[in-house]
Amino acid sequence: MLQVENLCFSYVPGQDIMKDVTFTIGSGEFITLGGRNGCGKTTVTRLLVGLETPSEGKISYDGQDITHMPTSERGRFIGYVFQQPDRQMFRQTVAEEVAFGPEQLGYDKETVCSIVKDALERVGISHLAESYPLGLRRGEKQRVAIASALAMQSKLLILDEPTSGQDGTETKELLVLLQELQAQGLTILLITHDMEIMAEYSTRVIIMGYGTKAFDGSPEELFTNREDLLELGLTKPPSVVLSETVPALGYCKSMKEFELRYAEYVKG
Amino acid sequence: MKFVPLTKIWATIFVSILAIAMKTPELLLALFGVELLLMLIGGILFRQWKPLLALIGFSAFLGIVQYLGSWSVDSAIVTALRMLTMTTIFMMLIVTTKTQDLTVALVQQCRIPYAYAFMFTAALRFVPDFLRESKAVQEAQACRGMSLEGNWLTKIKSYMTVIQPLMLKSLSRSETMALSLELRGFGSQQHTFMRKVSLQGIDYVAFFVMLIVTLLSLCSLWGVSCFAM
Amino acid sequence: MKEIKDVSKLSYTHVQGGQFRWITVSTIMLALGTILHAVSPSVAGVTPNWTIATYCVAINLTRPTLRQSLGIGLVAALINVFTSKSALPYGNLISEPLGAFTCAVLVHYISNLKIGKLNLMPILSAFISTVASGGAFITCLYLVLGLPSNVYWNAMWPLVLMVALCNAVVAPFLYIPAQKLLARQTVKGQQLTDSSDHSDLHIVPSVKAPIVIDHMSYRYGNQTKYAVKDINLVVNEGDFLVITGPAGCGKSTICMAMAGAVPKFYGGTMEGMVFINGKAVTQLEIPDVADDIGIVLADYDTQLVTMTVAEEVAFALENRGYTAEAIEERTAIVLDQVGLTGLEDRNVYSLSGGQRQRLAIASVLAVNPSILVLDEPTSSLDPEGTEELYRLVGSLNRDHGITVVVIDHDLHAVLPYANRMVLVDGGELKIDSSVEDVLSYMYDTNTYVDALPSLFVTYKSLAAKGIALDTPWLSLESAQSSLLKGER
Repeated sequence: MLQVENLCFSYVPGQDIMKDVTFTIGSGEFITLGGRNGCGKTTVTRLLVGLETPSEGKISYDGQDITHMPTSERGRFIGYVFQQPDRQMFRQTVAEEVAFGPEQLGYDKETVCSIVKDALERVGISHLAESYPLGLRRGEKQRVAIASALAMQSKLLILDEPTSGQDGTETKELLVLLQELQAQGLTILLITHDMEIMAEYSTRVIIMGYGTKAFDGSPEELFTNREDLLELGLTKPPSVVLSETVPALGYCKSMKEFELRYAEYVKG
Repeated sequence: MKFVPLTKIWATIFVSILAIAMKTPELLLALFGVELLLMLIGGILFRQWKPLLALIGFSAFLGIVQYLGSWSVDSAIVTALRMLTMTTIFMMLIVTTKTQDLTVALVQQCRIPYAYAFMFTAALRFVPDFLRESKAVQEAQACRGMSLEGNWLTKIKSYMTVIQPLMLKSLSRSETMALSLELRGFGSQQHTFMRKVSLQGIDYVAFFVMLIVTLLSLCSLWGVSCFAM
Repeated sequence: MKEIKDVSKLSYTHVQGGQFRWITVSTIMLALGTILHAVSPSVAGVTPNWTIATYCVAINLTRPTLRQSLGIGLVAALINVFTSKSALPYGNLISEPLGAFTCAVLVHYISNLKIGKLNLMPILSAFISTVASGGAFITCLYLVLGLPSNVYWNAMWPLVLMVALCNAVVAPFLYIPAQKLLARQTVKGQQLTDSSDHSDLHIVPSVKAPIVIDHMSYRYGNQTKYAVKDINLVVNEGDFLVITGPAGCGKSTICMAMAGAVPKFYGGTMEGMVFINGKAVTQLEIPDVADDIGIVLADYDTQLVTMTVAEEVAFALENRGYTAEAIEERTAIVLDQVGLTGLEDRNVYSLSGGQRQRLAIASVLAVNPSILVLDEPTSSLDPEGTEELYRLVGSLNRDHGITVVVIDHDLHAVLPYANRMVLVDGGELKIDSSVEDVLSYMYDTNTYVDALPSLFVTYKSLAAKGIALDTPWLSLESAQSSLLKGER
């Protein structure tokens, strides 16, 4: 669906801070993107959505070259949910707020209405349609931002560290929502620092490091086979560390899994 | 030779008085020359050539407007030079004074209530943050399809989608800021300052020199015999 | 002096405070006006005068006195001059105060100018103020520079009128959403009109401790619903207390009560009492409470109001009248405590998020309080930043003897440092005990379990299944060692 070939990026011409980044994102994947601060994980997503231009390389969506397409047009394919969702809010009700995107795309009033209704339903905030966006709680505001991105009819959703600063309940609810959206056919690309989320929810992890793409594979591969986790700015999630302490259990992607296996192991 | 902000403020006032009193291009040019000399001595002439050029350009523009309105080359030059001398001395004030020192001078010596001096520096402190925010808001809205192209109506609408969220986000923090000010004892009568801007010996000397030069110049401009006072 | 025997019977009401709201709103609007020039659209080369538009909106929003409005205008002029946006500084120094004053006069003497639901005041005041201000400015130019009359009347005045029209169009787009936002923020306390007075009461705490909260209940504004009910909490010297609970449970109210902001800033009725270092909070003004207890709010960025690091630390000290030498001394001490030594002259905007938070902590420690309270400090930090923050706070607690109270839900990072924990739910204090006991309580009563570190949950689930482990899993190391013991 989305293909990135040999992407290079620099702030100053001639000094590439990122080189030869190549990967393909297929439909319906749940990918987490990680790496230490400053490694380029946010930069990569900004390149995807057009907020930065690569110095070299090509980005294509469904075969179409979008490397030089302006951001406002890429909104149709790629939705971006920023870390601070209330930065973009300015309308009096949630419904109007979510309607902003489709309005910009030029749909007529009726179509906009139905798109908004659909987006709010998918995200589970239909009951908030008439609420004042800036008065909502953080988790709810984030859902409004996600609904706004969905209303753009995009198939790929990029979220920049959506769980930072949230409490356990909000995090869980968000990830459940993202999994539901993935089941509906959306592709999710999540930038995160949270190793537990990486291990438990994603099927594929891309790690940026050493000025390029350092890893692209399953979380299990990353946490069991890579020796350079520290250099990449990563740590093993508790479930992996503990499952290595009791090798008979095998790789555990979450503490829940560890608990179940350990209980069986002890009983058996 | 470090002068205190108040001295520079006096310099600005004296130069402006002279600039208004002088009516011929030659005198104004001489005044401007004195300013350039001061800039040279102060070491800021070469660093500030760009802003200076901008001021010259703007004054020239004003001179042209004057010419088109009055058809007198002389008055055009006078207007341009007067503008130039007045704005240059201000530029010198701004460039050689730290904002914080200026606010202390305004409160201690010009008797402006501290609350306003505070608002001045606080607003300046938020300006870079807001600039950064406005760029971030623009990006977020661009991802939702907002583009800055189009006729003037769509442009205005697009700008509103950047300005409004920015304003709302910053205003939502005004409550916390108001509380934080109270917590830190803002508004008390016994406010002291960390920075020192009191007049030193050299400032008194400079003040009297400027005062005498200005008075003498005014006397000779207005044809009054200074010794008849 | 009336002696109070039973603190729980006390009641104290206060109207909503916030005497500096006009300052903060005006400051923000003026800063906004300054950058709007950079992003402003123009119609045929004429742009709105954003400076005037924003201070008009600010004056409409906060309704300051006439004198205060003159001040706002003066500040606007100073900002224009200092950011080199002023064509003729004297012009601005006269025109902006005049414009602001005009706006204030209109706002004060004309009330209720509406067509249907649309408030016409912002439009009218923006137009007239711009005419007044612009007119004064061009008149200055005319007089000082001797510009020809025909230019003055036929070119400059029409220009002023066009800009005034632009401003009149733009002002309601700023005013209306802003007014709705501010109305929501301040609605809680507005209906109260009277404040109680405790100055002739003799109130003492039952226990000698840094913080004593005695049967405190609180209602915001004139609501009947209690935000918190019957809170009893004693914080001892040297404690590192964590207050946690789900969103809306009242933990922030408790935090604000410790600061004295509840009830004096937020407005409402307080029953019972809060004592800070033996002094009753209702008998003190907010800045006096801050001498003993330093609060860093969740949005630490709004607490930073000056331009450089050293000034920020000095701010509270300057406000209290410390001498310049004392300020320098305290600044050095406090910057060393938070690890920002050497950055005295750095601009605040060049600091990273973590550094800014340290600066906020430093500025609060400047007056040497014995207690430090942090309200949700990790909400905008990444895991690395969170660890660094708690390392700093832990060292302040251990090495400098500062009593620390942290309100947070990110329990796994703060656990290694805390010696006590309190759970608040539905406005009530559910349990006040050691970290382990509280975590167990949360698990056993299924309260706010999502905040529990996953390690601990697993430990308790395994225990529930009959698998006993020797030490509670409060950290990865203890979990590992207990598993290894089990393997043998």
